[in-house]
Amino acid sequence: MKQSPLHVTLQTEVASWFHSLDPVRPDDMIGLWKGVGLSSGHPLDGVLENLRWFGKRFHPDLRADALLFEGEHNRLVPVDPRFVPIRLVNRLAAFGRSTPARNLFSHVRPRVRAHATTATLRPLSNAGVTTAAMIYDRQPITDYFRRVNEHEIAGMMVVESDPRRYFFRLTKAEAGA
Amino acid sequence: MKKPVLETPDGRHTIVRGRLWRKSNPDLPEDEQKRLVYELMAARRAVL
Repeated sequence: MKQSPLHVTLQTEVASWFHSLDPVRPDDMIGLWKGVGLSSGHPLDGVLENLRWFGKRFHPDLRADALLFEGEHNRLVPVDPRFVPIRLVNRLAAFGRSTPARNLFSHVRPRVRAHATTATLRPLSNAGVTTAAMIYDRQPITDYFRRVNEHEIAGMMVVESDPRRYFFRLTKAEAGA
Repeated sequence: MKKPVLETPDGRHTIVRGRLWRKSNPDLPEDEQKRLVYELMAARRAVL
């Protein structure tokens, strides 16, 4: 779990930016969000995008599709996070950025599809600020959210007992009609 | 390469240039969908 000085610096800088942002209410998160990872010295940097991660969806009852991927026939597929052992994924991150991993995941994805929502949104305190957070049902993971602007949210994924943070940005898919 | 138009998991919306667009209810039988579209268009024509 040892990090290089560059990774430590990146983690510190992105965390500092994240904590400077305003909090957000859980109700403001309701909707479909397109996600993109931020380069922050975390092992997962670039992995989700390689596996065709789309983003997240929050329902009016504050339940969430925690992991939405682009699937077959151009339809989004919610993946059950219990099939994504986060500590193992962190260790195999270099493979996760490869083409074989992308191809392998496209075959596995239909079998790890979630058949219900997999996380809950609620206000939670982090670094002294209460903001919307998404708690995974079956993983020791909490995502905290802060507002970047009217249409964009920053996210910080915290894995229990892991000091490293994964940062991402979410852009809301506004209703066209 | 042109990006494919994605659909939400329930098939009720497409996502075009970051915006959600409602589709016909995918659970509707084809005949029922055609009838409803015809009625909607007829109503639109009537107010134009």
